[in-house]
Amino acid sequence: MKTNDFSIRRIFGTAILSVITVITLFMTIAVTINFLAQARSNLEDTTLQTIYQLRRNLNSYITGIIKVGSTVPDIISDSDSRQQIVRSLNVIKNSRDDIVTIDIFNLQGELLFGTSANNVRYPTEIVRQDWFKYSQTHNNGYYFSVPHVQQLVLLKYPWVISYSEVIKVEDADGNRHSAILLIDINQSSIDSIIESVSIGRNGYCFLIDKDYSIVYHPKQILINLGQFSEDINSLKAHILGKYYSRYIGIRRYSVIDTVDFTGWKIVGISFPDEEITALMFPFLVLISVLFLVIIFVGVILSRIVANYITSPIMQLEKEMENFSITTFKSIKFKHSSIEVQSLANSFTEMAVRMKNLMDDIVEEQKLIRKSELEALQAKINPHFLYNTLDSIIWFAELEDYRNVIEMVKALSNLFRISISKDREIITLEEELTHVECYLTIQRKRYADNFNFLISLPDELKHKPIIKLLVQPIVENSIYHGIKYLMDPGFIEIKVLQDGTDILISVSDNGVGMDKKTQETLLTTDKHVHDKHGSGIGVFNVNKRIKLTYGERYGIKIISEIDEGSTFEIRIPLEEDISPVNKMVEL
Amino acid sequence: MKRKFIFFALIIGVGCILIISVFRNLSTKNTEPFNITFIRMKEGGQFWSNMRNGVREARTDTHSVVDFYSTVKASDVSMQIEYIHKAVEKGSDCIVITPCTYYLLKKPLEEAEKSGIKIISLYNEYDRSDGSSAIFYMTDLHPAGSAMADEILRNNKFDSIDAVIVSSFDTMSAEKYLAEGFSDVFKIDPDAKSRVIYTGRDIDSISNQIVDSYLQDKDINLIFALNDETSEGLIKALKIIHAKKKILAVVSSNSLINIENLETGLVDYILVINSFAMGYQSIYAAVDLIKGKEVMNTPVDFTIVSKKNMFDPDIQKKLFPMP
Repeated sequence: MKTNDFSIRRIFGTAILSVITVITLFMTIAVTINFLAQARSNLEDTTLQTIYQLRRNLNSYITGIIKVGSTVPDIISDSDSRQQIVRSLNVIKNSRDDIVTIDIFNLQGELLFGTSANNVRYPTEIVRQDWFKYSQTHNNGYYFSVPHVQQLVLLKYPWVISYSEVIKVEDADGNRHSAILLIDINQSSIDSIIESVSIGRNGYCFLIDKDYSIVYHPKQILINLGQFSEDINSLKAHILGKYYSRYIGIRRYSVIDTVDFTGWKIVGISFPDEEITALMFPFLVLISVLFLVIIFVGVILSRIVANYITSPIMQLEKEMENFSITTFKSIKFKHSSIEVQSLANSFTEMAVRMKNLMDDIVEEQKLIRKSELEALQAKINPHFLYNTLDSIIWFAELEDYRNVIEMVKALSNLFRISISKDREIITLEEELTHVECYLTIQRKRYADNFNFLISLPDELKHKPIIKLLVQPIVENSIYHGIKYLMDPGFIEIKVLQDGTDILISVSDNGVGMDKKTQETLLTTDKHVHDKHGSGIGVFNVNKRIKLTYGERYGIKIISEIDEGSTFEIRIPLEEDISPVNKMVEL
Repeated sequence: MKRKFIFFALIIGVGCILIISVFRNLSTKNTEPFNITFIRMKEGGQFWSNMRNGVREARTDTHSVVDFYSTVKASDVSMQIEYIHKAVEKGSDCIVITPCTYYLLKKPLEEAEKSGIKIISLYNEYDRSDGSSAIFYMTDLHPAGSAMADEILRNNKFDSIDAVIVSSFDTMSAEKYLAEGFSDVFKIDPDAKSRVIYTGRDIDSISNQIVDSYLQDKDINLIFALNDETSEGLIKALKIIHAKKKILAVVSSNSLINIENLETGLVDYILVINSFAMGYQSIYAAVDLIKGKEVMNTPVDFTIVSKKNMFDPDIQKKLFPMP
């Protein structure tokens, strides 16, 4: 398989997982975008609501101070003496922590009544101060200052916010005169209203007056000491409302509203990027966990689905890979699609057909082989019988009854083994007895012109062998080996075990044969043998051995001209069998 | 397939962790606590209180953990050394110190430095080794002294200047630079006389030494006190002297006594060193140093206050500490 070839399971799994991943990713992005928009919207709303609430609180407080101021003319007019006025003013002052001073000055800066008893600065110093001047010039007839160090009493330097107003007071003669009412508010009272208000994590509120001077800022000290600055320029560009801006590289959302009566503006600052970043962490943790869970489930699901779909195909593939015609049974799946089941049925049908075909071929081959063997055996018997009977007749004519009897006995045994109750396999002992009978007959025929020796180990006597294997070889040795000798011939037959094989050697001291003849004996077909009239027995035996036992087995010829020949028959060593025939002693 | 699955899962997992880490860092980068030890030269006094307030403000803004140490006496070297050892034991990230003397702190601070603690010497300098990475931060008061002298020359006429600069110890580099800046301006007048006297930190002793100096040289027409104690001693001395000729008195620090005497006219000028900014910015510098950033030295912020401008909106913000 090439590296870029993909299995169906992998393709299915990847496809399902990809779809899940893409959908999850898309959902995650969509949810994140929606979350960001919602977070921003919430922050804007929070900032706006905070500023509106703060404005209400400040309005309420400022209204309270103005109301205190509005009571002062009544106190003055209703009181009988200066002491009573001062006492009443002190009562008001002492009843509230946020009021530092309530004083009334005439337009020359002289103190008329008030809570500042001693060491009040000279009128010339008083009239120079902003709260004094602006109370008379301000449109509304009153003035709220920015936080400042009050210069009212010598060597006292309180930080206050001054409320000053022009009021009418009556003198002892009943004449009404303008006067300046001063109410100093402890700066911390304004601070306490605003400093508790926060917007988000780092957002804050601050107050500016109409000149954009800071009335309150959570970082007032830092501003005073030059360690912090506020973005006043953007405030100047946006009188009211809400807007996004960037200051010192940080994006901020500002909401501006106005405090009644004072001309002050409340500014709410929030930092959307910081807020969203802070919110994003837990959100991303959640989203990531969900994402991982979905992907994990997706992977599992994709594998399950891919397995469900592909396992029958894989099983079919496996069946095809391990296909054996002898062991094959029909393929059946527990769960499979119609298409896969149809494919399996087709394959089963094909396999059954192949099996039937193979069985037919094997049977046919068996029959062919059997008929071939029978034909080979049939070729042996008539030829030999004719010659033997001829010899018996010859001995009978010579009235040599002893040889007649021996030959007839030998012939009888020979045919008993040949017939072998229709058995193809006999023991080695039977086979060699058959050869002995044959050699006995042939020696009589050739007037004892050759001798023979057969040696068979006892342990090999009952080993199986195809019948009539050795006799054609011996026949060949007689007719093409020792027949042409002037001296008596000798044939030796030895059987021995060679590993897992049995080796039967047939040696003669005949005339031998050249290489070409050796090759011709084993390989040349029937027509060549017919033409030369020799060697067909050896060829047939070799062919029978190979047909029965396989190509590894057969005959090997070792021969030298004028030296003799040896035929080695190699067959497999198999389990012992019982003899088929009852032998007659020769 | 299994290996690819694991690889795929790992990639997604690592990706998620990376994204979360980035946002976690972004969301917590301002709250990462740094442990800073702040050792002041002295407890009490407006100058040192303002410095402490500045540190507190910066501590909040930087989300740092700051341990405050200060000696009762400004010359208590042994206590400062002990505080340095405490900082080392505690494993502070940075020590911000206003050394009480130029000498004797070299060894303990170098030991602290060797243990990996960053050192910032604020306002005053010490005997730093050449290879030391300790930073002298806002220690150059020379411009403040010069500006004070320029202001005096611009608004006052002298036949000849006979100035006395009252410092506590000659081992205080901050006061030394301040005095040098002040004197250098007067050097353009060859007839001008300027000398520094070291009086310690005891108010009565300072007062007596100033009176003695005046009695020895009644032509003295300018006295510049360089710290809270010498300023108070100067005011006390001026009340004793009752000089017939005007002695221009310059004090340092926005203490109430200095402000009151400015308003009453006994004192002519107050040099207000913005010690709040010193404390505030030193913590930011410490945080930068811990983070491995380069720390840029910034000039010392100061304000010259006279009776004439003391209530100007911009001046009063510097002069009168907010509650």
